[in-house]
Amino acid sequence: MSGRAYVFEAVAMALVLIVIVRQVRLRRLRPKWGIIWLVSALLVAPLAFVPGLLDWLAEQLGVDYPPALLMVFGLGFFALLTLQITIELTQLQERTRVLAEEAALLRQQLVERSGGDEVARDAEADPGATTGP
Amino acid sequence: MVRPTATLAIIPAYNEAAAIGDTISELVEVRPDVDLVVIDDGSADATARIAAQAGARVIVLPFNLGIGGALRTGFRWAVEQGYQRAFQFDADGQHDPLEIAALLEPLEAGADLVVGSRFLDGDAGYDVSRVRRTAMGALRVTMRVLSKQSFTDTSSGFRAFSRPMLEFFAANYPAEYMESVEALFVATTEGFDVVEVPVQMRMRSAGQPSNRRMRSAYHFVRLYLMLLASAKRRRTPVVPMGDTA
Repeated sequence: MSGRAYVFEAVAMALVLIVIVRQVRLRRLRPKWGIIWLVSALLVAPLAFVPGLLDWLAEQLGVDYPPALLMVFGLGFFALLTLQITIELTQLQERTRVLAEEAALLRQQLVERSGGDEVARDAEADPGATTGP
Repeated sequence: MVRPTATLAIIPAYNEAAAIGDTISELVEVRPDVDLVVIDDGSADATARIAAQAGARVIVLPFNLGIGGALRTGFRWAVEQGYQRAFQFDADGQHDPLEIAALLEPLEAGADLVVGSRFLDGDAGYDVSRVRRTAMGALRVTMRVLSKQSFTDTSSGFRAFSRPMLEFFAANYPAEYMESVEALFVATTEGFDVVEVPVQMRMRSAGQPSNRRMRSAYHFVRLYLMLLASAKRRRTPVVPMGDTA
């Protein structure tokens, strides 16, 4: 591999690190996911910087075409990641649902305590609005 | 807290402005002894206002949860308010208030879940398409095999609930479309006493039936997955339950 390729890889790597750390610091990314991204990046890094490592690994595992090994690892990683995300999405959807139910019940209790029947009108005007007592 | 003998009608409603006024008025007229709660499932029309004007208490969900979520909200309300029994009633006028007495009766004998069946006495007065009939038939057979109990109408939404059933469903009612079948299955496998009674139903007075083909097919597959999955991880053996009449 040429020196230019190394420079390119190093810059790309640094950019990925900076972006991930920045997202975590800005709280746009939970540390949990930041760590997953960082660790996976660090695991891939030696393959980029150590010439022949991928070929050696492929040989050890009996893979004839080394880039195929990279593909398998890459696809496997993203499949797992997607699975984890859909699991968390399911959990989130269920929680949102329960929160909506709770919100509706609480609003009804508030309305009844204040003796009004404004709930119906308000909901029609703006389904997302929070109703004051 | 409510009177110890009070019965609650739980009426999920989604964009039923055209029908719900008449449904509520008739229900109030025929059964003035029953408390009503309409769960407005994020309707975009005047459902909530019309239901309230017709004399129902209306709980408004902030966005559409689907009928399962609306029902669960109703069950929670019933449990929190201390109702000993409740029944589910359609907003679109498909159920007859005169049949409520027959639906509630088995609760006195200790039933936990009473399902009003269109087919127990033959399907007089109710017409469903052949595809739908076949799908419902397949579900019925699967249910019979898995729950060891036979039902004639697994998707009926005319149902009555005992206090223990309400408490269970308040926490566990399935949320996805075609939840009625799933709920029936869960109730039997959890050991609740489930019975069917024959009822007559009317044609829908307004609103669109919610059975678009692709969607139905998808949910049919989903239901099967659910049934098979829960059959595998069933912990407690199914005890033979009360007579299905």
